[in-house]
Amino acid sequence: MRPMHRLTLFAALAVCAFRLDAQKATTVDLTREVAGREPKSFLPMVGNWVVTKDDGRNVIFADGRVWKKGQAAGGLADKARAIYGAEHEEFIDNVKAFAYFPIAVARDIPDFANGEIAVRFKMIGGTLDRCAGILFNVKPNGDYLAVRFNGTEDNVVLWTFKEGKRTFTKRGTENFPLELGTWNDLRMTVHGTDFKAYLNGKLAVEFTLPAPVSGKVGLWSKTDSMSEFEGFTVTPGAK
Amino acid sequence: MSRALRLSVLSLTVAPMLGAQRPAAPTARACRVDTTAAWWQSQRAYSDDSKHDWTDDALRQRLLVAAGYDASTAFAAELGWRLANTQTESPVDSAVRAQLRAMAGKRQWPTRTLVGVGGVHAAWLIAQRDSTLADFAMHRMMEAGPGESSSAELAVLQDAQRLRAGRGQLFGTQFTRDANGALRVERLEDSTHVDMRRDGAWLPPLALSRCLAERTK
Repeated sequence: MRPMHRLTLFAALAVCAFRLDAQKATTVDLTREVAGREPKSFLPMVGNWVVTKDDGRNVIFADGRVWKKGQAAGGLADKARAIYGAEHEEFIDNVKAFAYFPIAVARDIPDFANGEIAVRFKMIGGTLDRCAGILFNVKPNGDYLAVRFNGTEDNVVLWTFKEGKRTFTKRGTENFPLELGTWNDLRMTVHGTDFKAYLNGKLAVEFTLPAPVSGKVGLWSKTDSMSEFEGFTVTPGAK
Repeated sequence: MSRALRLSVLSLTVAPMLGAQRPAAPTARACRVDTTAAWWQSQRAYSDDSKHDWTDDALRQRLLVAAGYDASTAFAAELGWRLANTQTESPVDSAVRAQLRAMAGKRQWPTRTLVGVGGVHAAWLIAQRDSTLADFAMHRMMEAGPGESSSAELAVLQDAQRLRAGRGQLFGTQFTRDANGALRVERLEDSTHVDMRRDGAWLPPLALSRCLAERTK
């Protein structure tokens, strides 16, 4: 191959590689949601999730006030079927066991394996807990990972949920005494098994996952937490 | 009867008389406690100890004695206000204190399942006499989950603890008096949503608590 042709081929390959790397970010659109109703863009699997207005914008609200231990969200079977088809029974069986943790799955994000997930959250309150988190690696049997901020502990922690049981995975060492009623940014990145989580731009948790992830993603809350979410954005990384 | 209960009952019974003597005080109508409201009903439902289904009666009795609390007294709602920093540290029965500290060390606390509502209330009263116990109580009550303690009492503990730590309170239960004797709510974080948080903690709206507080001058 002549040098000129070789250069052209290299340039073409470089462009292709760049396009693979810079895949488009998807922000879940809440503008068509209806305030006061359950969200359509996020499927509430556990807990009470509604669309509410904040400063004129639609946001997702995890309302722990009406949470009751062991109660799954209404229409769980239909929602599980919508995302996992015939395998939904296993999801439901397991989801009852961790009903302490409200989750809402992003409907139109088919899978997340590598890249970045970001969300803005505002803690409103809660007597037992004041949590907000990102749900990822959600499997058809209901297993998942969650990285969350807890306002009663002021920290960021990565948790593993497997077969209905929650296992502590990695706690950030820094305390973040956030004020209620303020918007904050929670962001996580996954590259292979390399996991990082950032709170308001600051690295909060770093961890090597036992295996690469692949699964649904969404929002996470805990017990009676009242938290708002917006700007849920998924940016796939290079494959 | 505990100070908290005395204040609550006082608010409902004596306050109207005091209000009549002080024209500037809020009217009885403004301070009306609606016993059909969700916060009242939630506290009322939680307070039912009639099943006697707690598992550690000996601990319950020790707590009741140490707190000086008579569990047979009629229901008195937590009205969501008290004067901050007026709960002075006072000696707690050393054996009871040691037992509570030991329980807290094992991530346990007197819960409704263990000692019934009366026992939980007694432990809460004791904890408020000792800031170290109060911190233990707050964390263990949060961990124990819903129904194992009073959300309203837990909110009061959290507010007091946050003020001690130099942070804003969340539920607006802590008041103070200025030099002129006027009541004001201690530093409050995110005042916009305070009544949502109060609703979740079975407390009345802040305006009602303030009204009741002002009537007890």
